[in-house]
Amino acid sequence: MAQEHEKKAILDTLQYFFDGLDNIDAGTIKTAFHPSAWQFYVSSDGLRANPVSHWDRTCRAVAENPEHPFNKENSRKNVVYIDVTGNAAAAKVEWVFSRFMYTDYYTLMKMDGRWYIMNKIFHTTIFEDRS
Amino acid sequence: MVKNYNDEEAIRETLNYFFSGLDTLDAETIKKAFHPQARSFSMTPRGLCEEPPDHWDRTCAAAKTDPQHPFHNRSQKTNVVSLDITGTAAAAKVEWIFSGFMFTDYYNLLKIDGRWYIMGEVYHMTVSGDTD
Repeated sequence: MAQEHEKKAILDTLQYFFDGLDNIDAGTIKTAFHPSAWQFYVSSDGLRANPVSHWDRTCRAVAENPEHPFNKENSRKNVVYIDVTGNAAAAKVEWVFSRFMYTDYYTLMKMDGRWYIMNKIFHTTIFEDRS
Repeated sequence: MVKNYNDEEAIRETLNYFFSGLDTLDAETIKKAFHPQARSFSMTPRGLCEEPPDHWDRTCAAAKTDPQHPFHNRSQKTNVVSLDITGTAAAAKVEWIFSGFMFTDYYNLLKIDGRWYIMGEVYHMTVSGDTD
């Protein structure tokens, strides 16, 4: 089915993000995003807005900090859903670390034969201390 | 799926600014649904189209001066197909049914200072008779 084919193509795009973050490789991460994409989230200081290029800084900061959780473990990626209509789509992914979890929502578009993340928002859930 | 009834109602309220604003071609009401930094993306025959919320000023003005504009001819039904909420982040899928065509919209939303805003939109237009 065409739908299944597109979902697989979207997974290919998400995989750049997964592999890039596992390897702290900004170049690979950015392959998943359209250059016009923005990432937004709400921090304790309010709205934070990051362009795609922020991954260069973020990956450098992680590489310089051995204690950063991205260095200590690779998260389990849980693709909760992918929903496709023509050349527009949405996806939800949980990145499960041992002490916290990111829930990401993406909107995506298909252009020039491949899918790009156009917008990313996320929420961080801290797990209760189970020790 | 996380169920938080108050947030679900609040998100529907945000979406309703968009729905009722388009009904009355009132750009100010539509823009209440969007954060100023939001971007809307769609594919046109000329390629990717990127629009900030301010485009609604022009779009509504153009529709008002054109009696043939499809926004006037809405045997319109707006369906909130899905709504998914996790803390301060959420996603919604909405179908706008016009006579002869339909927009399928996907929104990413954030809760900022106690209210929900659309931060990102992508949409696809399906013409009646098209098969997917």
